[in-house]
Amino acid sequence: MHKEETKNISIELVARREKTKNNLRKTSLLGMFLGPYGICFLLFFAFPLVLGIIMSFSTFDGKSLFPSGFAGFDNYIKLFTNEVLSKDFWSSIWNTIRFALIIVPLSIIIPLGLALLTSLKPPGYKFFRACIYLPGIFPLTATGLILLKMFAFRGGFINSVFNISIDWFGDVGACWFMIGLFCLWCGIGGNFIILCAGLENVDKSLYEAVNIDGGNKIHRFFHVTLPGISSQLFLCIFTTFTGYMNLYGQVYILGTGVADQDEMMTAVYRIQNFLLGSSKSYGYAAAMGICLGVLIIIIAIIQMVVSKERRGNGKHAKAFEKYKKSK
Amino acid sequence: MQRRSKNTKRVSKTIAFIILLIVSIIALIPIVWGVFGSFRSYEDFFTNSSSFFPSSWDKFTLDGYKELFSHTTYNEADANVYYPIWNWLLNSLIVSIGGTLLYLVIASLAAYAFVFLDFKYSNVIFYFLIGTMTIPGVISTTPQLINMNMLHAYKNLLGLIIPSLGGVYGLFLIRQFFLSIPKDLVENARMDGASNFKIFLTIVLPLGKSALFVQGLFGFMGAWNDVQWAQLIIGNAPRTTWTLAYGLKVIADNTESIESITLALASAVITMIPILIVYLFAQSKIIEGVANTGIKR
Repeated sequence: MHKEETKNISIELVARREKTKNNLRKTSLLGMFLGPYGICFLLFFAFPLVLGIIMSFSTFDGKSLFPSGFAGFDNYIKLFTNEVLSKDFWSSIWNTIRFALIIVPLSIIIPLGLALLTSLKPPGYKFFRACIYLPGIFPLTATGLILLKMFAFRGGFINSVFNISIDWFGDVGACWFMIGLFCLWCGIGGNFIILCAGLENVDKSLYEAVNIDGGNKIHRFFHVTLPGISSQLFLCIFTTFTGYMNLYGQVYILGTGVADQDEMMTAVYRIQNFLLGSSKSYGYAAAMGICLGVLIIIIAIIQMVVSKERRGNGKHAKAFEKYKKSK
Repeated sequence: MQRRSKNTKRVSKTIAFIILLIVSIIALIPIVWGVFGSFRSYEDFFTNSSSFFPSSWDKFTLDGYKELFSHTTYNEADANVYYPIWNWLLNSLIVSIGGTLLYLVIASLAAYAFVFLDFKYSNVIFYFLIGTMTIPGVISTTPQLINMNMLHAYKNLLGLIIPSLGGVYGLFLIRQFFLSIPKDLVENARMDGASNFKIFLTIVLPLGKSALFVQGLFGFMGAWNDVQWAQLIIGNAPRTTWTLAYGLKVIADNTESIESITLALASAVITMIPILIVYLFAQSKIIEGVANTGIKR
């Protein structure tokens, strides 16, 4: 007892004396553990963000990559009023949104249907899961190249088998259809697996509860399954939508054969072309990026608000809890 | 009653089985067609374009691969069909393995700091980092390119490696795994006088290795498959600095005639093989990783 006390006092003394020393050691320790990542984060993430905002207000003389002057809102005004540039940009935004409006619902509903089937656990369901995810793991250029050859106009497998002659990659409509097919083929795997995992975690006793109450399958789906996977669904909708607002790779690979390239341009495609081209108006490119980014954020916020209302702020979940307890 | 529900269960299971089988076959058809196609001759494609497999088994040929590798030396007259595949393969490996390992080191160090070194504002800083994940990447595409140019990482592989080092998602993932490591274990080791580096290396890393493995897989696949950023960084550089995934696009553009279809398919298959190997070995880990973290690729 006595010994313990003296020990405590001596510890306290040592602690006080070493406090400053400790602080110093702690800082250097933090620097060693957090430093490398911190530097990388600042240099490769935070700095470009700030630089982008500065760039969007700058002019570039084309001789160097550094801003040569202050442009005010010129780059943004160009985005909205310049006859050629603003038409190019907003038509590419419209192409992107139009495609997203079609592909995002499909990229949710199809994986959801497949996940529901998988949750019945038919024989070999793990193997099927791996197969459906497989096409998405490869580089888009590789899978896209195979599609290009498979659907080739002359001597392509699909045209020969069905004895048709459709120029899948030459016509605007057909090409967008192919891009959609490509997106579904290589893009639904992730959502599918996330939704499968969500379905596995739905409380099974809730199904029984609905059964006892005489609810049918439709009741079960809308009142147990959907609320049960709402967080996964939200994650899928959010990431899928954001992903397709940044659509580029699929169009870049399949869309170069179309004569009217304006019809194939997505917003990111436009920016990418700007950066690769010879015109050095980096300020304008930065302004386009910021404009698209802000648009994505706005739509995401709308999504969040709507889905929160739809989900009733966990109203259903609470009702179920109560329901379960009353049983 | 009991029996009836058992029967309907069996019926619905069978229906599910059939539908999933059909979808799986559809998902695999182009890949299988591409792999078999890479071993066909273009004459076979020309005369039997509607057959899925080579029209007979003795028609198997390595001509596509041979032709692909015949373009690996630079020739001024055919500069446009110069495909230094070995360089591309090596570059892809350097970028995807090097970048992933570097990121794992710095991110796990930082995750250790966030979990086991309690410092002022650690939570604030961490949630700030999480918040930055909602910023769309397209905002920083252009300035990142200028940034890489300033750091002399434009038109070389460095520019493909370093931007990903600032990523937040991997850090988040590794931190979540570290959080599940009992704090007592670390405290006890500290009492025994072990330094933080020793604790990090001998206790935390071995216990959190599955997180590092999952993050490593996604990092590898993401870097191997990248085309968009690669196009900006190395698209205007000499062909020997390209990566496989990017080089394929140029092959695709150059092989519109049917004569070169086997060359194109062979190049696609070569690019897919490393990823396929990773997938075959770590398929369950990858699927588990997607399910738990919501990373899709």
